[in-house]
Amino acid sequence: MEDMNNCELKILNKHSLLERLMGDKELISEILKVFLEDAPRQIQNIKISMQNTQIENARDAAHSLKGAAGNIGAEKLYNKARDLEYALRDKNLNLINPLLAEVERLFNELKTEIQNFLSEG
Amino acid sequence: MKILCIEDDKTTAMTLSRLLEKWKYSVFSASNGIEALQILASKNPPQLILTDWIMPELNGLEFTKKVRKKFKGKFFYIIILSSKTNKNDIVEGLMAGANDYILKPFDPLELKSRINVGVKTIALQNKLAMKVKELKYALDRIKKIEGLVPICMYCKKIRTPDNYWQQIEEYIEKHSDARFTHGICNDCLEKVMKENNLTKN
Repeated sequence: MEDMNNCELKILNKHSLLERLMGDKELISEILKVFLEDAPRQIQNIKISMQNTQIENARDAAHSLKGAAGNIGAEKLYNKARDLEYALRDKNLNLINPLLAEVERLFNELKTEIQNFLSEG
Repeated sequence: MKILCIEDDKTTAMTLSRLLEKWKYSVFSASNGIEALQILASKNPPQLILTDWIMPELNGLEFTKKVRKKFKGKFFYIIILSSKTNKNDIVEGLMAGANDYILKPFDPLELKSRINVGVKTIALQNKLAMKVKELKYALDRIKKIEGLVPICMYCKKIRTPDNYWQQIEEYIEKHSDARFTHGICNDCLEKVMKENNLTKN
């Protein structure tokens, strides 16, 4: 995932996704659907944990979201979720909310892209 | 071959199990360490384990430590699969008892070949364990006489632990694999003949 540190990050790196899942398109769409269902739950998890001041739970949820994003080649979301995870880990409170908003925005962008990808077949 | 996959993130869990099924593994899934320990406590559990680190309930690191402590006689090959990518994390994971550590997002071919290393290690370990068992079985069946054996200085009977005086042949046959054939030595032959007033013809 070295290319995730470059400036040319992709919302959804289809090439790396295909490579990761060994070109199995059926599997790819199955996994993308699971991601679309599960990622909002993780984001919700982060918010609820923050409201209950369970920072460590929020950090773990951000970590999970990062993993899921990395798994499907969602490079921008991966990076942002990682930043959020680190901000939560370091209890960098003034960074957390803006990062969370960014994560949500990126997820919505990604969602559109995934839906387009899925409808292309 | 069975493989246990411990992963709380659904997307990754599904990716893993589908890939592993494709590679002909029979996949057992758990979403945290507690569930995984229950699977390991069942009969004929998977010996190959892929575990995430950060999970609710019982995380992968604690799980690994628990397995090593709880199942001392059994061999499990544990691979930690984590997006904790610091050198210190890797060292900590391996120190906790993991056999290998793979960074997330994982490369499928790397995963496949590292799992293969695990399969080979398990086969070797199982073969070794079987040999040890066989040797132990054989050793248990080797009889030997050792220590201080109380013997009558005149008739050469041996005193058993329950204070019974046993013929020396009987004693040796019981405590070793030696068997006796009976004969008579020249000195005894002469003595016996004299006692019975016989002469050599």
